[in-house]
Amino acid sequence: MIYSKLTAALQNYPDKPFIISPSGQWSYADIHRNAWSIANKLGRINPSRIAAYMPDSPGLIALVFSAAMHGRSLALINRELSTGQVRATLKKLRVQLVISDSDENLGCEQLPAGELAESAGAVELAPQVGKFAEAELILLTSGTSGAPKCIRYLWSDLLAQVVKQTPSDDEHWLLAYRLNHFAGVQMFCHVLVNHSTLVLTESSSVADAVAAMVEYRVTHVSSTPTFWRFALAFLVDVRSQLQLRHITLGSEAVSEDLLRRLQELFPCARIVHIYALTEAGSCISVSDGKPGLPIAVLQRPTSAPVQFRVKAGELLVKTRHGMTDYLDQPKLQARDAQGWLATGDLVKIEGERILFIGRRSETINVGGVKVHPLEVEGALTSLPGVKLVRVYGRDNPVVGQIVALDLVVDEGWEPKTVEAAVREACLSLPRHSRPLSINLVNALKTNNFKLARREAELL
Amino acid sequence: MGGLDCLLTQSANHASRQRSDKLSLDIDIIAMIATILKHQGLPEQEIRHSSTLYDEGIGLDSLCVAELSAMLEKTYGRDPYTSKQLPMTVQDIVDFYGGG
Repeated sequence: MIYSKLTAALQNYPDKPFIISPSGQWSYADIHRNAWSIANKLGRINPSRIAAYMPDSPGLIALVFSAAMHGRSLALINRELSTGQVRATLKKLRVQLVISDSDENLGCEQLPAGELAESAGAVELAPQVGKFAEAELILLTSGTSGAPKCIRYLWSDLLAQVVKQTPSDDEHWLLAYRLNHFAGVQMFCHVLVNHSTLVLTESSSVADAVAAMVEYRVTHVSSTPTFWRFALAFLVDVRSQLQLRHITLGSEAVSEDLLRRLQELFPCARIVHIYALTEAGSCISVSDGKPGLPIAVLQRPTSAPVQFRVKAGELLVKTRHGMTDYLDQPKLQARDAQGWLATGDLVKIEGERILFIGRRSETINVGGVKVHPLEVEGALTSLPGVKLVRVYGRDNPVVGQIVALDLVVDEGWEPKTVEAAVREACLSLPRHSRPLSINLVNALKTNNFKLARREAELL
Repeated sequence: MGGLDCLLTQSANHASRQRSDKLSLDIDIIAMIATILKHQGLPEQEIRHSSTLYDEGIGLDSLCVAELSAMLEKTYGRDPYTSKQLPMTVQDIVDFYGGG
């Protein structure tokens, strides 16, 4: 399925750049050639389940096609995991071959990532293309609010979520998520189906991402609100050199303040925020410049590909092309008997809008009163001098948990002045919601540009 | 200065330092409680060593005490509430840190 999309692009645009990275440029024909070459190599080893633990690169993208050509399952392992965690994950997934840039023993047969490049160009045998109807992709959830789970997707379900658009010659998408992240795979699929160009960055830093936007004439960027908040400081300086036409925000709740700041900076860009879940797939994109979802989505007919419902304050979704299952927990049912998936996202309805107030797992219990971090953060993010805030629960012997706040101050601001302004603003919140512990920090830990929120991750 | 004089002087200095540390601890804890009242939007009031922390005294409620516990823990690395003690007065907190 995924391979057929490559051949379709090859027939129409063989010489069009598919991948641009700091190490060079690869056309659709180049990636196709490399994919065949790697597929030959895999054919000789013949593993049933393959994993990749390597940086995002043209080699990794060629490998994705190669594994699919053989109908093999491919697991993309998070780069943030330690060697021990990688070894445990590979064992849990019963991976037989891992392609990796690591010199460590990962507990199964290893093929150095460098050898993929060496094999390029040496086409010997035709891989078993077409023999296998479907190939699987295995990803780990981000684990920002719990232990990561291994999810299994059919490529056909991932590709069915992509909206086919009229191809544009100069559409350059920045890969601001990692490929081992569901949102990164979605972006890869979007570029492939629409015969666009995918730009890879030197590293996962925001500065490198902004540098790539300038250098490779990036027109489309999709990332998290946290990424955009970090990027704003860099973008102001290079705005005149940018050709951004499309900005997407996803994976976290979006605030009105951030939407406004991006629109002011890029008045000609189309700004969209999307709601997607690793388990359910892409659900909706919203482009009216307001946070949350329009309440009309609750009235969608049962024939709609994506339906929404609110039950006990939690958003439920029903999608046609979500994941197959949790590979590591096959008995764990993500959906109920009718196919509804409880998203874990708590919402409230205000007027014509469904607004996100936080994850169920992140709710802070202050003496029996539930506090939602996003509501507290929302009251503070637009204050002058506030660069980033993270609200979370901290254990407390008196009331069980208190609201704690990590605060990053904008450059050029006096931290104590900003802290005083934050405390003043907190007085407008209900007493239980006011942060009782405010910590001035230089940076906030992120996981794939999402704020890390589990207390264990913050320590 | 003879040996005994030297010992007496050292002892006097030690006692003076202890008094100074205790005074500093008293002042810090009283300032902390005043800050909490301000954070919680409660009226200012005179706070003494003998002041009762709750109800008819300073009137700290559970949220104020939760903040006091967090602040003491952050400043001194431990606090009476986490140690399952319930100080009734400002002096009890000072005593917890060996300032009595």
